[in-house]
Amino acid sequence: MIKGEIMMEEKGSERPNYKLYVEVGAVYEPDGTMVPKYLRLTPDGEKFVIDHIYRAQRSASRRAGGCGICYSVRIRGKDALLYYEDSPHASRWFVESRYPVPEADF
Amino acid sequence: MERTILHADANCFYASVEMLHHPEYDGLPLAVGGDVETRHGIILTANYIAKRRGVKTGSALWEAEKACPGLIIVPPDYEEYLRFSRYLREIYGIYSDRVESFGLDEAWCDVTDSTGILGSGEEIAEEIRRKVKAELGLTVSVGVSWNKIFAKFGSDYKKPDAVTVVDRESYRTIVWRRPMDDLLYVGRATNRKLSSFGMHTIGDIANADPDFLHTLLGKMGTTLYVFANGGDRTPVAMEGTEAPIKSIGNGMTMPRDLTSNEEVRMAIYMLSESVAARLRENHFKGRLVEIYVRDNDLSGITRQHKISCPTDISMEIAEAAMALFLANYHWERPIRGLCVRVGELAASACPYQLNLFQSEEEREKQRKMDIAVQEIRGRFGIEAVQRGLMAFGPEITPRKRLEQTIHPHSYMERGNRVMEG
Ligand SMILES: [Mg+2]
Repeated sequence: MIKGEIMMEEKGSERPNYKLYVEVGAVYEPDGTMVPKYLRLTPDGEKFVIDHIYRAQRSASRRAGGCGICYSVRIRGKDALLYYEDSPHASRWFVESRYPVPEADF
Repeated sequence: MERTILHADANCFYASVEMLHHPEYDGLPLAVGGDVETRHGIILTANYIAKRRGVKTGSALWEAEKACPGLIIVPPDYEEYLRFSRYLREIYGIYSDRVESFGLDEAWCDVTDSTGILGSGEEIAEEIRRKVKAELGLTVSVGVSWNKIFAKFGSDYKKPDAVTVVDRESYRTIVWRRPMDDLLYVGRATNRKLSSFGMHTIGDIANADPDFLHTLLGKMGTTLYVFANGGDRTPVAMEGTEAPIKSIGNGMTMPRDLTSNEEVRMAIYMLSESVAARLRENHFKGRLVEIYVRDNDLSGITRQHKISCPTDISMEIAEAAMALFLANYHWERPIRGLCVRVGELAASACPYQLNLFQSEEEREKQRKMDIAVQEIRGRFGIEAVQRGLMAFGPEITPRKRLEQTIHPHSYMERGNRVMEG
């Protein structure tokens, strides 16, 4: 079975890379700050709790294509990038994946 | 205090946004084109690979495909471009509250007040370039100078993803050695005329006798002389950063004052044409036509008029602007600056109430004519098609119509703010 992996800033990762739209549970703080709390790769899939957010800043994703607010997060001890793509067509969350398969081993 | 002005130009803007969203097209020729609404397919922007293979902005889709087999053509995604335009402005807005955009992909930015704190103009330009690349995945070329004309020159000088400084020490070597048609407003006929007197470079214009230029080219001769010497003083307009494009306007400062309705008509038609072209390139129509007139006492008036149907037709814009002018300007003083602006923009595809008294067929015809003129100009240079009216005037027509090169510098100062709101 192919194991998908949500990618962190590794160098020389092989192409192609895939854009996986994921389910995210987020909290809006009283000041409007949006804080992602967990993600699921499929609607009924496993819940990956976001342990920590290092930073959030706008960033282009050259691997998956597009740009959004990029959250550098820690999930189960691993670092990952989670993008909030505020597109006029749909505002949604994505991760960069090495495989087009919604699976991860955080 | 000497000003520090940046001009930032997003390279192949529409195509770059599409490339960002389609990493699978990496390394392939891509163009944004087609216009479903008018069933009129032309190339709006191409990436550099496609350009190198002969794909030209403004050419028909079939022509482009012939020149470049395998060309990937994607339809324009106007909302997405607006979004990226807004992000660009947000970035520029970090460095200045004076950001003046013209269309979606270009903006001037007066960073004079930031230079002490944030570094030199060049350092700020570099930071902007890097930031845009990292955060938006686009490239910009940035020109840095003390006036808008040379800043604009700088952003065209080296691209993509580059910074060019044109300062008091370097402008003679950077700008003056370039052929004169790299300067705004120098068209083919002007070029030909000056060439016959042995003038070929921008430096030749800068070092010519201004009276000679005036005799030869009328008031435009004086304007060119001033621009070539870095003497343009047009300010960068203040606009709200939250509103990237609420209007598209174009204007100019005249080094020598206009004194008759005919001179004004000429300027208004020329400005309206470039505004209409820019509206179409950005897929906008607008229903508010505004003029800003500044007299030689430096006081200005802004007048606006809501027309019945949103338009991107140069004739309609020019006629509304001229009517506004005639109704509101009484020639107490000669005119120093003029701006034509179209606001209350909506996407071209937005439905609107048809005017019962205006033939839609007639409008569509005019629109097609505009597009045809635009295309011919794109292919053969601006003088290939001249409206009858313009044929008599001095050559104040912009040099090249298409994307990065046209724009008489924007002149709006406070006038434009009426539009934001
Ligand atoms: Mg551009």
